[in-house]
Amino acid sequence: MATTTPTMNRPMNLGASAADHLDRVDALAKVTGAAKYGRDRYLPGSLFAALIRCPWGSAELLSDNAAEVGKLAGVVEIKISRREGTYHGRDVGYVLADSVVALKRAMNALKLEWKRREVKTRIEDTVKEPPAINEDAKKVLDAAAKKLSAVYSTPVQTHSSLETHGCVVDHRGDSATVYASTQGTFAFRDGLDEALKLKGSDFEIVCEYVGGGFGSKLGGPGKEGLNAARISAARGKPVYLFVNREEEHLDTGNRPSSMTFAELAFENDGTITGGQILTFGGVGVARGGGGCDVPSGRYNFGDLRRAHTDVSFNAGGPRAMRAPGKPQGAFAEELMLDEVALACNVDPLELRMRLARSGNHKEMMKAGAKLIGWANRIPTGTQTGTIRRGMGVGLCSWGLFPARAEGEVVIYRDGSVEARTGTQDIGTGQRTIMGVVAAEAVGINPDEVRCSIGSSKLPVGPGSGGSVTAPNTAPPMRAAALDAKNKLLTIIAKELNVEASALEIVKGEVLRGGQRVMSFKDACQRITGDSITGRSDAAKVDTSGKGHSDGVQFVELSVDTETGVIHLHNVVALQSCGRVLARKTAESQIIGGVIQGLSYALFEQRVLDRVTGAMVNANLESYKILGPKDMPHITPVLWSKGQTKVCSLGEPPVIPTAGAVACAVLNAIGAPVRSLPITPAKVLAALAGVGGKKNEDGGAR
Amino acid sequence: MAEGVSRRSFIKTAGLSAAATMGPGMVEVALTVNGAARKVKIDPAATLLETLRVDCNLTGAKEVCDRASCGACSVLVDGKLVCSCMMLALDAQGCAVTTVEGLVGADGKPDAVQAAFIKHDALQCGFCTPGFVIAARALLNVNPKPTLAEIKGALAGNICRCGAYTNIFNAVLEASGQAVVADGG
Amino acid sequence: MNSFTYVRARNQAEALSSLKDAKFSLPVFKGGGLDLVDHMKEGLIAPDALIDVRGVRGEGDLAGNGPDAVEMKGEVIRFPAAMTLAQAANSAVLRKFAPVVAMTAGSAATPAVRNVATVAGNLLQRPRCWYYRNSQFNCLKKGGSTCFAVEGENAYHAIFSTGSSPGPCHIVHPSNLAPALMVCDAVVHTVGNADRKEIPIGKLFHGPEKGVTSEHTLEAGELITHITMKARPVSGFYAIKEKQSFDWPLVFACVAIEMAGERIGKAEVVAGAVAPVPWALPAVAAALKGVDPKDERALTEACALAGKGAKPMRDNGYKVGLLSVAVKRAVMKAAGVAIAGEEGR
Repeated sequence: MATTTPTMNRPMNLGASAADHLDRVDALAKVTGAAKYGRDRYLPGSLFAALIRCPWGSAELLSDNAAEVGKLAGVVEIKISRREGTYHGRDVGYVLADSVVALKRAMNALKLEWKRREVKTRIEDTVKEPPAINEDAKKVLDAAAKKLSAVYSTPVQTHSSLETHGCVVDHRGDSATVYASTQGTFAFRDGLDEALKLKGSDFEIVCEYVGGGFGSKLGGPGKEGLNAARISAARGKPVYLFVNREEEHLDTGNRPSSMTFAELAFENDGTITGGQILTFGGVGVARGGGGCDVPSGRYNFGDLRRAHTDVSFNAGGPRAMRAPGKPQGAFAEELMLDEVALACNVDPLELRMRLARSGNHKEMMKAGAKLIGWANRIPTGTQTGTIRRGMGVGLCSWGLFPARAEGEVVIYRDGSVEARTGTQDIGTGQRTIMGVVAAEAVGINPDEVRCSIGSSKLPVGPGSGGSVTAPNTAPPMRAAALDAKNKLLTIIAKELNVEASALEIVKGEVLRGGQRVMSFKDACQRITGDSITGRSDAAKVDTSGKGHSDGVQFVELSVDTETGVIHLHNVVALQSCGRVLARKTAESQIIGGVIQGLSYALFEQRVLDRVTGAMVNANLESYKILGPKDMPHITPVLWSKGQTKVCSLGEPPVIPTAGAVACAVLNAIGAPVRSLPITPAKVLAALAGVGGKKNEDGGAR
Repeated sequence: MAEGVSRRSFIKTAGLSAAATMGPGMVEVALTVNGAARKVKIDPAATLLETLRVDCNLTGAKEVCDRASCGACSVLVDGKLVCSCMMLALDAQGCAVTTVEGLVGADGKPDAVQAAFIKHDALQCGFCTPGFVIAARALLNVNPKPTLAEIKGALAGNICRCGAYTNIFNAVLEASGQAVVADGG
Repeated sequence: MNSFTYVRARNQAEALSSLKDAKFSLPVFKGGGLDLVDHMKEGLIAPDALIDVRGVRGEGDLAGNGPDAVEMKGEVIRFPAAMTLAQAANSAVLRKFAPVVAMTAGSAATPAVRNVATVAGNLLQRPRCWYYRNSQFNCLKKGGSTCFAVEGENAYHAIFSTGSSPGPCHIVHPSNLAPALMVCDAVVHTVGNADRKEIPIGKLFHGPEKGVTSEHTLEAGELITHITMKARPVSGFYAIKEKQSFDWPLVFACVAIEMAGERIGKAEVVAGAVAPVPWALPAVAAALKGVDPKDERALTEACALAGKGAKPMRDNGYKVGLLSVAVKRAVMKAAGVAIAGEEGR
């Protein structure tokens, strides 16, 4: 895998891809509809279940017509097990029916009379005033040449996985198969034995395809899995339980909201001397999990006082969401820096070059500035036309976390090769890259390896979270493939009466001293049994070492100052990728992260009715997700300077985007919008605050 | 957004209707899906999406928003792009329904749009992909050489949560025999 | 969805008699069915009979035939009620003689929805207010006593009211076609009501002060068959949306003008997404008279009147200013004047 072939059509590529042109191996199944997701498993005789939910932020159930609805055709059971809820979407029971139509009909017919109670729906309901400034921070601020006092806020973003949470449980008495939509096949298994009344070895979690997760499907079977398992175990029939779109918004986790109160002291040149940053996370009914990562550590903030508090209220709680805590922090941090730069009349990129701690970030900033054309950036506050252009920049970083993973590579007598890992593919390309790793180690082409993934009966692997799958599963898969190859070569070596170490396999040929001995397929026919299996030995696999992922993103946009509408033009996203296993899927990860970040910046927010606590936009119509017409041109740049390990790639690209967008908006209009999403209404309000700078000839230009 | 006309109309008078009625209760429906005639027994309230998925075992079209807001359930009805989640199966009687499965040729080869999606990695988790493929196919059927702006417009009813749009645009350009936008568009 | 009987009507007589069939307690007509199915999925209504009128043939044909269901005889344009929005958007006649209607239809919803949604359905669809659409909120429209938008989340609600005081219901009318048809002096033709066969489009809608549980003036059993309207070759539409892919406009405007040389001789202006009904702006129309549409300053001044009289709620004050911009740009669209930032989009 020591190639350093530049990737195609890229303005700059420092990546080293083993499989520059390799297609995603399961793409064919996905484009033809052949791929079976959990939601696609309609088993004969299946029952269909749905959870009954509290419709208000806080309410008590006074009465219900469950007995009446239970008599409708096709309704099997209605169970109400709770009579109150403290957030919209709290499950209080379930309905079971023998068809999809009957289930939905019963859910509509079910009338519950609730008594609403007072609710809190946002951080501001608790944090009503800016917090006091710490005495030490005050000293720094008092001594400062310049100061910034600002409040930044971000909304709740829901994961909005397109395949909703749930599973199909087929309990057959002494065994069971569970078709799950999960990011953690093994966590799902480990949480289900009690509900199924089976040992983990007696049932299988199958997760061949997952329709998105972004962190929300990491934590085991959840209430969807547990309910389905219990019902299936009790009735001995398959049970299909997937939540609907509304429930997905309400009760399957989210990125928590945040408020950041910044009091910064800085010199006339923009050097930050310190101050105070207090952050609050809006965690709904949860008690924690609302981290807001500012300062991120990527910049020097001087002598800073820092504290974080999580605030609870009547709403569904958070779950890890793609780079938890980071995008909300990066939004505040990057915009803060641009406000400091503006106050000091310093170019914000220049300021970052001074404040950034990592040399890698500085190099990436230099390279990215050329690609976006930073030299053409118009100084903030100097534009007067209706359409004003802006550029912004943001940084990200991510670590490398260890996780338990094993792999198996099976070489069959007919020459076919199977790479086996229980880990699932949530769209990252896990199935593809496992094949690449195994093929390379064995010495054959990637398309000659079949990958079996997404089953609890396969070798253990981590959940798809924290960007741990590729870095942690690649080394054991490589070890397993090498083990299998050595076993095969040992057989051949015996026949040839040489040492196995004298043989190698290159491009499907067995070589000895560089000379062809036989084809790989012929070699496989020497296998005496059906197959040989190579295994990874966890103790011998090295997953340690450096795998830190840095990234820098530049955004170019324009603001229509009459309408407040933002048009995105270009994004350049440079991202550390270490060793690239498959270029196409790697670039897709970067592009996808950027797009989610743009959507977070401009559109997404959970809207809770402040009176009742009900989420009023629990759909995909008024919960707005960036669509095709909102797309800018995106240039992903794989950056792999000196790194030889497989790095984290999934999480980091979502971090800097919203901050870079906010900075670009500030650059364009001369006023900061400190609250996400940056809607036309907020842009217009910011412009109105600018006052005299608005064009005097009626906005026409 | 149409229910056609006034629905506040509850005049109760004895009247003879010669119109064809179906239901309430299970009814047998003849559908033509991907060129094959099918008979399914469904409730009149079953949507085309539910019928395709549950009764026809064609699970390519997905239920995502269930309200015509995301395009994941897209199919062609008489060649026109529709959201099957908001169409009653009974409304599709007598029409030719094409799902993403039906784009695969008799030889088992994927359609040009499907092939281009593979080549450009125009998907990640893949859950929205059948909808995008169908929407792109619908576009190319009437506009064989769309501009990038036309592609974005034609796909504007589809949502991809993983963020594959850049590659999707390139796939549609490729499928229409046009040069892709370097680094996406 | 609840259980129901599906009726396929082949002609008007079948449609009307099915609606009066004694065995049905709550029969409804169904065109494209999008809003109806939406309501049934949410449990907002539970009709026991759906009468499909898409196939109604004969006199007063509801269905659109052929590639262009729009006919033009002299100055009068005519099209069937069940013509889809896609047909309207692609109609050569409308694009040339009433571009405001083609543009408006083409900007509604999504391509897939436009292939199914009908003209009459667009006019008669119920509001998108998120309190109305959620069956848990027993709002005024559902017979309750509260408009939840007043104390709640009202960023997308109305800034104008039809009555003497705001409310009692604060929806914005959802049809984007209605304002376009209003500037074309459209007439809605119906059957099923012995007393009338024609309704000027402006009289098709009423504000909440005249009955809050519906937005239109049709009688029970009255069925729209077709629409006639005048040619408005110099006309335009402009919507301001948060998101450029599928989204409902924050505000939009439809404009038809007659030029007198380089200047506007006569104008008609109707806005949408700002009031419980399509919102006519006669004062702006009057102020536009004599304005050269290429003179953006003069245009801006005339359109500044658009927000006059608005009584915004807590979170929708931004709409007042946006409305003036939408009207101005709709005029520019009509007159073929380039709008800043639109090149290449």
